Amino acid sequence: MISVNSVSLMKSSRRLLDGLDFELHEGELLGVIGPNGAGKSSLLKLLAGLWQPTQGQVEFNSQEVSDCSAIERAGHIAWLAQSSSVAFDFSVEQVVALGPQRAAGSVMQSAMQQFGVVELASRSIAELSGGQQQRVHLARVFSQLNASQASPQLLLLDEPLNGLDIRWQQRCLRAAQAWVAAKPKRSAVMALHDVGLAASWCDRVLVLKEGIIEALIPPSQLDEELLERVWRYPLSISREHNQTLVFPKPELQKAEPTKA
Amino acid sequence: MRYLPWIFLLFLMPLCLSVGAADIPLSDWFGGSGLAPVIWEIRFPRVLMAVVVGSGLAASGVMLQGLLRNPMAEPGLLGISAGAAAGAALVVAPARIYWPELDLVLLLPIGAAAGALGFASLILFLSERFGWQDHTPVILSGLALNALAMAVVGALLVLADPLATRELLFWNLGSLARASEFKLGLLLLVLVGAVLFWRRDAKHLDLLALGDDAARAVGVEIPQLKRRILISVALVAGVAVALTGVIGFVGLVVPHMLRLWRGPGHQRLLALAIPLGGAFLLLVDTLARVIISPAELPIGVITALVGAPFFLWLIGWRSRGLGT
Repeated sequence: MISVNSVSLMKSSRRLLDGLDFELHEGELLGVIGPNGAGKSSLLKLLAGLWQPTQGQVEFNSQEVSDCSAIERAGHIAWLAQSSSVAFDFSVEQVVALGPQRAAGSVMQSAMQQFGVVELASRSIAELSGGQQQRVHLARVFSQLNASQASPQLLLLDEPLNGLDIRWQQRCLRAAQAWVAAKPKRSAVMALHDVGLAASWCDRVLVLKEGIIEALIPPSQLDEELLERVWRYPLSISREHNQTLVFPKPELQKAEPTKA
Repeated sequence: MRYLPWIFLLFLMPLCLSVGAADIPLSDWFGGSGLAPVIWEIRFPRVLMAVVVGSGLAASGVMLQGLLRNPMAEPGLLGISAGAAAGAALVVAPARIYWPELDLVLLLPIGAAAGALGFASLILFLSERFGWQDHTPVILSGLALNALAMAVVGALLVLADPLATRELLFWNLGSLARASEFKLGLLLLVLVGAVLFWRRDAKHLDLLALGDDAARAVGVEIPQLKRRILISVALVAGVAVALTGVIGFVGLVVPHMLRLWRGPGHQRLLALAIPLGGAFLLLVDTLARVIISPAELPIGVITALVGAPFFLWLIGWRSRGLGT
């Protein structure tokens, strides 16, 4: 579905991504994880066609994604920004309706219900808390996903759990997973900070460090050695009831080791 | 509800026609009354001109504010109107010296539109060259362009002959007194052309409120949208300035009041700004005609007296975080 071929990205003479090569399969939920500044958001912008790679190609269904027009891309790919602020005093309902085409009322209503923003519908988005605003944007993107018969095939969520409490984190991850599973030829990529959640919900995880792929593996293969190397922090990993938990090693919680 | 603003405008027009240095009741508008020519030959073109210029400036304000995601944007503050005035002045000053008999009726709007387009293109070039994400630099560059245009007009005021000087002063303050059928037709043509584009673009401006990247992700071709709006606004504002001088703040005040009243959706704002921008300028012009009657105030003086305090209030309001 998506094929990333020897992709590098430079911005202001800084190399943000370097020599990325991977394929995203149909029906797959891919988690992109890595420390701050690893290049997660840059990778998602490349996949969305918002940025053009300095070298290499990003192909969506065998077509170079940055060559498509914005409206063509919007028909195939839905993207949620890491942080979204809306200019002017739009209401929640108006924001949910913002998409390449206006979704039917029932589709919007169902997306708003999914993210618990129905009762906020007439309020100004600027008045809401950060977490509530994030839920409004998730409802907007999911409403866009179901707006037409030819709904998008690729969902890109950049830090979708920003500001969400534990209940809405779970709801958001479930919604993404259910959307991918609902029809064939769909897949999703999520950039996540919580390694445990990425490992618990995604089919594969792509571990980025300083713009380079450190690993692209099923979550079961994530180990402490890899995590410690990437995050430069002593971390433990435990797995129970299909959930993965990653936490700092107790004896070293306060003292961050100096860089070798 | 949809036609209410138009009905309001249609009621307002005869009202404004009848008041002036001499109040002329409806019964004297037709037939043998000696006052009929005052209504039909002097006031009527002027009332229509006020409506068309007001509509154009208010609708331009809606489009620029949406494009720059900033409620402070309007052709005057971005320097586009001043560019038009400088363009017009660059036509008038040499023409009055070297070809005093030349009729400038078509050359003036061309010069003004070229000035407005030049400044709009400069803003576009700078924002693309430096990749301005935040729109504050655009507003600040408007300050610089206003100063530059003032310098051009100021220098020409000194160098030009007295006849041209009077015309140059006219552009600085604005007046609807010289309305004519030709001018009206020209402006109407440009405005109708622009509105045809703007009706489609207004929907994209709602999407642009999400930010550049999010707007592109939902299908907005931002460079084309930016070009289309800046060029069409420059044409409308340029021709309006050539015909009536610089009338500031209409494009700021009207969209903002409408946004407070009916919300931020740009399609609705545009649909309201056209009739109600016209109504606003018509009221202001009527005020300009009657306030020190039989003399009259330049219309730009009144719009600035209303608009400048409003602008200051807007800055204060925004600084409290309520404006976005």
